[in-house]
Amino acid sequence: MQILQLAYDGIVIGALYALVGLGVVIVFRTTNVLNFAQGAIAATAAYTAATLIAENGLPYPVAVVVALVVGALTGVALGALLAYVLPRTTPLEKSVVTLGFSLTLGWANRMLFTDQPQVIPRVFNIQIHIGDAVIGGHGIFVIAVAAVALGATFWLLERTRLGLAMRSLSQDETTARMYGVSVGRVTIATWGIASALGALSGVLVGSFIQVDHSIMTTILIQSFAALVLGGFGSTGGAIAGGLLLGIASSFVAGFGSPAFKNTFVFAIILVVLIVRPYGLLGKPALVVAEGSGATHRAPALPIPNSWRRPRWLLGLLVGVAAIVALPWIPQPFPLVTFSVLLATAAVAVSLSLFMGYAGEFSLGHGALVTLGAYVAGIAARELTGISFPLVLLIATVGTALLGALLGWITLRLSGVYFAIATLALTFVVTEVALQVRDLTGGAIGTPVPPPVLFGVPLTSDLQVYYLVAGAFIILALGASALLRSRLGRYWVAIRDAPVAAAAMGVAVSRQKVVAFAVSSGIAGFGGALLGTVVTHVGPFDFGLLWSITLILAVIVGGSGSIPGAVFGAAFVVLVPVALSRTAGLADAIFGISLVIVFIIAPGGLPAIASRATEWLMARQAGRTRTAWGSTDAVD
Amino acid sequence: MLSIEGLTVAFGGLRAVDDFSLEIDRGIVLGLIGPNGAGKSTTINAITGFVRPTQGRISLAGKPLAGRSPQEILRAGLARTFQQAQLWAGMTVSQNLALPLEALGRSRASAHEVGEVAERLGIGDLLGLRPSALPFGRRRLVEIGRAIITKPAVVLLDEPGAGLTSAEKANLSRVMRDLAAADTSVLLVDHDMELVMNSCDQVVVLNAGRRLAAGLPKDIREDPAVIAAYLGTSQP
Repeated sequence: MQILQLAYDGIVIGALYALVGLGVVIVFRTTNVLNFAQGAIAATAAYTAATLIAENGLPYPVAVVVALVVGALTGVALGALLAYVLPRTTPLEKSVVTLGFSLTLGWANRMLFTDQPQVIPRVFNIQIHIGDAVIGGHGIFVIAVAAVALGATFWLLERTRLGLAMRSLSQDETTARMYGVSVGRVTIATWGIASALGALSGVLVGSFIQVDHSIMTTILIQSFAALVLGGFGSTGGAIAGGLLLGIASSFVAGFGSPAFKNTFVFAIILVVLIVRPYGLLGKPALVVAEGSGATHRAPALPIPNSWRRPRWLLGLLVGVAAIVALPWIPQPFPLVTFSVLLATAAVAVSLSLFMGYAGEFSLGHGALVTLGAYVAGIAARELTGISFPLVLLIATVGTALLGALLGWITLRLSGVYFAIATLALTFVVTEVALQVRDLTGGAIGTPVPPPVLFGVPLTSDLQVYYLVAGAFIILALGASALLRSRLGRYWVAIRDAPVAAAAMGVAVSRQKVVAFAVSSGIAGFGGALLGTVVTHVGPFDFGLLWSITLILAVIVGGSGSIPGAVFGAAFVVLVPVALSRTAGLADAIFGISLVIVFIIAPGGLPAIASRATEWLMARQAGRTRTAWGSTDAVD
Repeated sequence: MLSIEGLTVAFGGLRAVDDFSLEIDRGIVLGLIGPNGAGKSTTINAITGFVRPTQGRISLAGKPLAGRSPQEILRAGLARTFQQAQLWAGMTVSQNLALPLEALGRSRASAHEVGEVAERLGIGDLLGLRPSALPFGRRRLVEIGRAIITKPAVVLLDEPGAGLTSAEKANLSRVMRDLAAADTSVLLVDHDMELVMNSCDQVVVLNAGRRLAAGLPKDIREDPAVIAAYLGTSQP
């Protein structure tokens, strides 16, 4: 009878995955945006329902309807923000904005409601016993509600004019417009329906177990996995994938070890991607898609031989001098903060190169950093007196190999699959680190002993700062050389015009894998530095939130720019320190600044700098012309 | 040189190219024309490895190409350009031109060859610029330069004349004749009848995936079947 119990549990949880996943698919199919805020929207709805029932004494159905409306409106607000405030951003950038929205919404929920998990009272408390199996009334309620909601949505998408309009929009917005599709209305409807589905799942989860931001995020990630399983973009696949994954993980938890549930999910993703890359119900996409992949904002490679120019040398000298002189300049932060900053900047460089030049984005850099930090801790513990450069080398090569493997499996496919795989990696690394206690110290983590250089342990903050500074400068020079190498050119070729790159002899898939392996290796390098600076590493130190913060650092600094990576790292490291870690406020600030950066300066700091230069030059030109007696206005 | 026999490409039930054969000799310019949807782009994509042929043989100097990757096909001596400009915006013209050599592992002589190709196309003064700084016609030339830098036996130009001024078209015509004179065959796909008639040694007409006519430009111009296929609109 255990089988019956596990199957029943699996179907209930699978129905919840399907609800969340279908909402993600609806948005993705219409706008090509991967909505990472779906979990936060679900949590918002659940909090609303719980509060209305517990504090205002509203009956369950009324509270749920209000919660669904709140959830839908929250989603519509996000959709409107993307469509009307950020119309010129790419789908990838919009997906990043949903991450920021999720952070901000998490903070708003903490402020408006509570930071405690909430329980929503159950409607049906009956239990049916079949042998040993307990079939809960609420579970049946979940299945029934989900079936109705999924059926209605499926019908709406596949059989109505609105569904057709939504599909046409994802194909080609201009053509859809020409045929009379009201883009605004369809966008609003899309986000509303999708978010109502998410909200419904939040409310159901609230009665099933309990609900908060992180529980819904976990469910969101599981449902991403379900989407990969079922085939991204297919509504039927979202439902089938959700149920399959729910049942499969229920059996793994029942017969195997529940501690490795996420690892199991990750393994499923990878196997599906190898065997059937477009999911069980998905269809392969067209092979040839002409048209450029990159936006005009993508960074250009440095001009050949620019490092011989005085300006470049001067910039380098000023940068190095600033880093060397910093410990002797009076400023409000402790020196270790700047060691963290430079180590974070090293990781930011790794992601910045990948996002800027390879044109892909990763949510798994936190996991790679965690690995690098563990390598530093474990290597220094097990091999007493090991030279620090050797530690860095092991961390770099190890993470690069892991990146190569993950990239080889996922990078042949579109960026969505890759982003989801890297997201899953984050959870797997945490899970494995928790379980392999002998090596990692489990939940407590492991200390990272002081680094040893030329046989001397470096223990003072100043010594460690200069060690990290030296490593960062070497890395920055290496990255700069990389951009001037053949690899940099291959990546830009693939980013700017992948079809032409293939036609001109570039091995597109292989070079993408190389790009991710290089980026992973640098992330591991930075992770070893970070672990060494903090002197400790645990499984939760560099999780999803950290990865998102890193993306923010790259976007604020301007992707592809090495000095920008330092500025971006300074932003994300110094802001929380300056706010003395007021709970959640830094998250909210990060989330909002992500949106602001996209509004005012989509290229980050370099874009602001070049705009300022243009403005100054225009003013200069204006003055000159005025001096010549011209009355032309300069715009 | 390049030989296509019985090429068929089916997308589901639609036969975009249906039992199409073509032979391009060394050192000639061959025009492939046809109304919209005739299967010209699919033919090019099949020849260059972007679409897998359903049936048929493609070979270059006796070497089979069907089913090979675009990279292998380039290495075998067949290069192409694209209908829509596909230059790499993040690189200079010089880097754009040199990359195919690098990708094929021939970067040693690249500086010399880049200079040579740029001179031939009259874009020698643009090497340090990025594509966004170039006028449209020059971008087309850079694309052609990128395709011929690996010294292919056959170069396939997909609507290179679209959007060019008449002076630029005359120059394009001269470039193609020069290529042919230097023993590089050109397969020209274009809508512009004047360009095709002025540049080509032979013309093949494709209609609904099938070969409608083939011959000298002046004969094609007067072929009633071709005129009917075009509804007379392309009569110069």
